[in-house]
Amino acid sequence: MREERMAPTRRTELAERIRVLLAERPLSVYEVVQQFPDDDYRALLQAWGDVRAALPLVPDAHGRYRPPAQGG
Amino acid sequence: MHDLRSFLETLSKRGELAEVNRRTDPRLMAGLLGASERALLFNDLAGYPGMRAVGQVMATRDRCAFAMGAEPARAPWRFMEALRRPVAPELVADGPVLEHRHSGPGQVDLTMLPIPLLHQEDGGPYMTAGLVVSEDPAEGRNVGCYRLMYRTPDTTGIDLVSNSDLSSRYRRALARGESLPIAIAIGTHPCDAMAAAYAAPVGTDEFTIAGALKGEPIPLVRLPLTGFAVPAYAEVAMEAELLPTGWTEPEGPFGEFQRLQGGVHLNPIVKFNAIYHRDHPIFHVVTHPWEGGWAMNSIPMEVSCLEALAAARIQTAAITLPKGGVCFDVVASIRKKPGQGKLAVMALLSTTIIKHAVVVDEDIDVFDPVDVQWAVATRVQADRDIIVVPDCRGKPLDPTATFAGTPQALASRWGIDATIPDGRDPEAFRKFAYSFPDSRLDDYVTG
Repeated sequence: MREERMAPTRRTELAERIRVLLAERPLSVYEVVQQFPDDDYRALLQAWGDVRAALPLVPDAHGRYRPPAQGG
Repeated sequence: MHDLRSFLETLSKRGELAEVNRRTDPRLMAGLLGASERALLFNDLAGYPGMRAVGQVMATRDRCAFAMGAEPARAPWRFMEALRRPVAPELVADGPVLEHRHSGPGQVDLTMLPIPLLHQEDGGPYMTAGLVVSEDPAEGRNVGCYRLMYRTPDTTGIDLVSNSDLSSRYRRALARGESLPIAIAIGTHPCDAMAAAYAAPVGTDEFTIAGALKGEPIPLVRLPLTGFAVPAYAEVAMEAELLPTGWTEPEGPFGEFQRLQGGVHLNPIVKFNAIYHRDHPIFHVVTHPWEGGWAMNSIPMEVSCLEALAAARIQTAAITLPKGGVCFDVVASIRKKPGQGKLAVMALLSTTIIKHAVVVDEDIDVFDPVDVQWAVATRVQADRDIIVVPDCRGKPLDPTATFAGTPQALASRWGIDATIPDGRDPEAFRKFAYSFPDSRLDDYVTG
């Protein structure tokens, strides 16, 4: 199987855009994926994983994530 | 060899497999799978060259029965026979699953697998077809089905809320301050998954049940890091560890077996250390509720019901967990002796998950809801034949369950004895017959 890896800059950029979206309002992974219809799925998973690794995200009962600092 | 690929070939011959050759965005997989009762094989996933995915493989009870070479109505008996005659797995030196290896720093990236986002409110993409293997010096090998929620390229969550062999082993590892190593196999034969779904006694190696179901030893290959063995023909295998963090990490929500969105639970974190796969691997996705929630679990659970009936010395003619009952409901027909109708109801309600039980006579087809309704309509008096037992142990995933000052969910159970009342003339309860029933409609109506 051929490995397909995303350019690091695009991955970082996507992760940053996800971070900005989450700072605005809580979002589910589904809603995050909907925001990037033109980016490939794997790229989104990698970026989402980077965001999760960097931020202690907590989902609510509907799967919407928000950083804990915004909780309440 | 009976592996996933050979089973898909057979499904194809039976017209139960559709191949999607058009390039497909993996984010569309869930919706497409949910719309198909046939198994769907995605041959060209955008962004995943060389990788395929399949779902709905075990979406019908008939298909699960077929996998074990049984007539659908006899499937639970076939499963019981396998429990009585386990077939030990066979260790082999190498296997297709080791054709491609990814381990070491920076090499383990779960996003190389097309892990789907299955439901709109899920806490993340989920791997749902993983057979999780653990080893214990005293109890031996255990194989179970656990969902894994993608977190980061080398970690997932795992649903370890319910009591299980794996949760006990993890608890013991935690007490020692250690992580618990596991191996995971994805993309195996349906019999492997059904054996893992069965609530086997502690100390049972589920691979021996799977071997008996298939009538041949399962070839197992040891994985390099842990030495744990997985089916050599698995499409994907992974080595990982449950970190000694305890039940601290939010996992979920997830679209659960009962067709409802589940909640968020605190669960352990799984750290992945190696990924292995075959050439052009087929990533298996188990969908909910009909595949993972119902079909692949219904036969093992029917076995538990048969065992309860047998312990009460009741002869069962047929049994089924009907689809809409999502493993909460059971219908059984029995060869009744006086007093056994209600005894059968109580036996069925004593099993772990069953909430509702309907017991009918042998002349009723348990697989035909109309026939079962007819039996309830014509053979039941509510004050005499309906049994309600309040405050039984329930499932937290039952949204009607209550928690009366206890962490354990409580739920009522009811059963209907829809057998012909004892002491009554059976003739009064017999279906009438049409006159001259041998006349053939096709001889008189065309088109």
